[in-house]
Amino acid sequence: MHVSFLSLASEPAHSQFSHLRLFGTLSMRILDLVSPQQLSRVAALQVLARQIVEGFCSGRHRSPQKGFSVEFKEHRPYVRGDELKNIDWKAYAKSDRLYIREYEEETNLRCVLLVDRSGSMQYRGDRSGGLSKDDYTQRLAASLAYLMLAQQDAVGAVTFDSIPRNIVTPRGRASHLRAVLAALVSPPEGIETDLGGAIRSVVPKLGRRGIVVLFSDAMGDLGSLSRSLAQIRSRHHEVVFFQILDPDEVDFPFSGRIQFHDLEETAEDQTVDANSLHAAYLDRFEQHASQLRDICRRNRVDLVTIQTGQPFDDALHQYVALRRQIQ
Amino acid sequence: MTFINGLLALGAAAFTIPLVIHLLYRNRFKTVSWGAMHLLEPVVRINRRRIRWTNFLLLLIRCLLPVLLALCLARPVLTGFRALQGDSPESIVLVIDDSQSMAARDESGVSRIDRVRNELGQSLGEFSPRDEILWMPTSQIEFPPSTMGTVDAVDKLKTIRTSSGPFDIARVLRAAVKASNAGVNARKRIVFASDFQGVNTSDASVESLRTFADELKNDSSRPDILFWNLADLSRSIDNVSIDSIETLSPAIVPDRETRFAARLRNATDQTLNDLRVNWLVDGTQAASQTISIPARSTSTANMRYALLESGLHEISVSVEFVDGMSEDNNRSIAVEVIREIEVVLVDGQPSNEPLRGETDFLAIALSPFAFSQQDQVDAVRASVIREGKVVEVLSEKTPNILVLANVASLDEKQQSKIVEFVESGGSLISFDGIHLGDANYVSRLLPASIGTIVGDPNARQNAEQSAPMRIGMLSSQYAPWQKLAPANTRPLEIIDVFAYRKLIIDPDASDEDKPTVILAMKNGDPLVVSARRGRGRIVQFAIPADADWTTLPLRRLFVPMVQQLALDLIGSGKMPTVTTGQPMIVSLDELMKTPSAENDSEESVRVRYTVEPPGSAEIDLDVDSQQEGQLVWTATQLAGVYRFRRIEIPVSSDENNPPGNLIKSTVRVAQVPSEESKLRPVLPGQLAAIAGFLDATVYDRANTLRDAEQTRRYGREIWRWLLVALLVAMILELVVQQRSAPAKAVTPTMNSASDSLGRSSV
Repeated sequence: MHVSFLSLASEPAHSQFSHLRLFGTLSMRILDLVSPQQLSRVAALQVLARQIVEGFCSGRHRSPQKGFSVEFKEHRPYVRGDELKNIDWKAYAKSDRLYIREYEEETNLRCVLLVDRSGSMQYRGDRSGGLSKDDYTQRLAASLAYLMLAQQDAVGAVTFDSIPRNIVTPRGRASHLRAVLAALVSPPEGIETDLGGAIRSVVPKLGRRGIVVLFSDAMGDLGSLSRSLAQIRSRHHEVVFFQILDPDEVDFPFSGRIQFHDLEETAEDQTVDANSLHAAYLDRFEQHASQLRDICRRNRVDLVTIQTGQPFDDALHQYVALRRQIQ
Repeated sequence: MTFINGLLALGAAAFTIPLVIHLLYRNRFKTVSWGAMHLLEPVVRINRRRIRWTNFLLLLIRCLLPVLLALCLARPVLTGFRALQGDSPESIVLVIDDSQSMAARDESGVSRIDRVRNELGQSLGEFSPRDEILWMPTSQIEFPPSTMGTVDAVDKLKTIRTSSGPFDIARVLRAAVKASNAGVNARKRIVFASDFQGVNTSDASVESLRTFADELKNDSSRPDILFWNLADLSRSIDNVSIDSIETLSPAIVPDRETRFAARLRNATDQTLNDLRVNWLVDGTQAASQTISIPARSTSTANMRYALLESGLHEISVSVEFVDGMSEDNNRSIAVEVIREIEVVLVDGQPSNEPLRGETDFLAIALSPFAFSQQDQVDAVRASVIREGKVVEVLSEKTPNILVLANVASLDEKQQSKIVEFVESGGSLISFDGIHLGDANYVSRLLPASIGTIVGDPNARQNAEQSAPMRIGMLSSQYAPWQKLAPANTRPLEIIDVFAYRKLIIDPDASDEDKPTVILAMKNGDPLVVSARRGRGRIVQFAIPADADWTTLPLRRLFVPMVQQLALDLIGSGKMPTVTTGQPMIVSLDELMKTPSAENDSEESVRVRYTVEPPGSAEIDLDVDSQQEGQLVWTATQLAGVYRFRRIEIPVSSDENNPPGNLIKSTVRVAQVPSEESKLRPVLPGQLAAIAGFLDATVYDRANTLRDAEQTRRYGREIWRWLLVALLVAMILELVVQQRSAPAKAVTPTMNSASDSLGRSSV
């Protein structure tokens, strides 16, 4: 499946990509696309994201409103044809010569949030503060979107499971936040995961160089994922991979006889003595984590593994540090 | 298999508890909607078989635990180990080595016999009350064993004493097997507790044992034999012993100093100086001295002492030293002090030339020290007379022995006097000669008739000497001459016999009158015969006392031969000191009252003979033991002094409590051979070989013997094994459980989670 942000923006909703919900370009019709309940969730998420980000920034002693844009660069002599409004009259008064003030180009960062909303992301453990991985991802992605928009960056979002489900093209307007949030809170439609396939179908449409932030538990075919990440990187996108895990998936605290039901419904139920599987599971988990780290290292992808019980600040810190590197 | 606590075995049914729990919980599980099935599913697939086996093993162990615990508490007994079914009673022959070596003590001061008392006594307490014990100390194998219960056997053990000598292991085991056959129970067993000294297992003894073992192999009812070896080869026992006491003088006469020598052995590894040796005569201190004995060697202590009275006396020696066996630190012997033996020689062919008279050689042989003018005392005083002086001499002096040497004839008065002399206890010796062919007293006085002279009486004087005849072997019937040459059975073979008188023994004579041949020619003709007449004895030689017919008087052997004969005739052939176990023989003459006291109340008294063994009360001797004018006492297992007494009781006195008058007493001493002090046990290999002949089992400790007995009789208790199995199963259960369910995983903390936030890319 090939999805183009540009073409999608102009195609009717009943096209072959009818399963996609498009936000951003049709932001004025958002109420047509989300239910009132979802809208209330969007509002709540927006409030929550603002609280998170402001709380986060107050700790940093630097207002995001000052931003990183509109920076004076140098003066150059006036030549014919230059806009008069750009003449620095103060410099003329001092030197009696016409100078044009030049600014750094305001190249807003384009950021696309790729959010995995497959069945495995619906797992909610006892130690995650009542949040499933999907819930946690929503909050984290919303916070990042809010933060980016506040910094005049363009933010887009793509939700996917086995295929992309919602796509929001990146825009830098503050009002665009609601479109992003609406995509995030939309109910999941599929339960299976095809992480690599879904990403690969999105890659051609990512446009010019930017940041791709991937939210997923990486519970899928790592080979396919590796190929997708390589494809993104080949287009000079910076990639940040937030691996969202539940604490239960890290230390497997179960005991006794347990019947494990697959949230993605791709495997049969497994009734096992959890005690006897503990060590083997941890070995397998560590092996999986190691493979993932190798893949990210090879593709120069920033991997941030985070558990749902952790505060969002950790993820935001990580993002800010990465943003600075990119600038 | 049986159970001692059978009901507790029902607890094994508790194995169903874990089974039920397993089955119940098998269908009870919690459902978790799981996201990371991508990781879990291959883990389950790969480990399913292992998990299944682990769970099965865990279930098995958990089921096994209550079973093992229940069996352990029920104390199962494997009856397959026992020899026969049931706990039927046994006949057990307890053969206890009561030789002196069993008194050897270990470092803690516990003797071997003490161990037998304590440990075997404890074992006996665990025997069945219905068992029959046949009591057989090694010193009493000649007697029928005492039969008793286990309780009495324990009491008997407490009183056992260790003062007997070595035993022959083959004889002991033969007697034990014979005793076991007399047991009333079908199951029979011999328990032989000993330190198994080398002296008890000579080569001949082992060979005899091998033969006996072959005989036993075909005996279906043969008993089980258990050896309990009490010897400890790991350490040697320091011991000082008195190996022997000897009289260095040939005869002990009253009021003359006699030399005694005691040989002491030092079996320690250090030289012992200033050892005090005490001499006692009849229980009274006679002398004391100090000696030094080098390590692992012997030394001799001497004493000179004059015994004043004739009769038997006890000589004891003791050494003051604390060692591993104090029992052999003293030793006793009995010696006989004899009155000077008066011998009258009647020379039937006197001569003025030296050594040409008929009795010249005899006189020298009877009093050799006087002849050689030595300092030592002769036991015999000999005087030579003519036949005409016989009546006069016998009337005046009453000699002990009258010797008729080639006497031609005696008148009626002389013959009567001689008969009276012999009947009253005197001894008569007759030597042959050329005159004896015409003698008129032969048929009246001598035990054998005389015939012709065999050989040529003049052959020795003539130049042409015919080939001499030879004397045969010494008769085993006559003990005094057995001492002439202990290692040589034909010491008289060197003697040339040219002529001898044919002695004819009446074959129709009664056993009492029939003479005994004490020496014979090689062709079987009697050379010396002996017979008892009244209270006296007559010895008849078929050769003369001079060197005309034989070279016997010229040989060195002639002196001890005549001496021993003289001592035997006056009754000093008795053995005052015997080895433990040997019978003691006391001549009634020895206990006769003196002639002066004999006239008082001869007809109005009843005679009683008693013996007082060492450490025991006086015992009446049975009339049966008074054989041929002598008392025979065979119960000489205990070393020490035995006192024999003759008591006369007036007939008129009260039968129940007769006031006896001690007339005369004498002593005998039983001593333990010095081999018992050497403490040289057989090597374990040798003992194992001996046990192998008999299919016997050797034990070093009583508790192993007891355990083996318990196993053999009742089966083997296996609760200890089960307890070990239970502990192993518990540990195994923990291990398996830990392997399948490790300790609760630690939930990652915020810090550790933050660590994972580090950038993984470059």
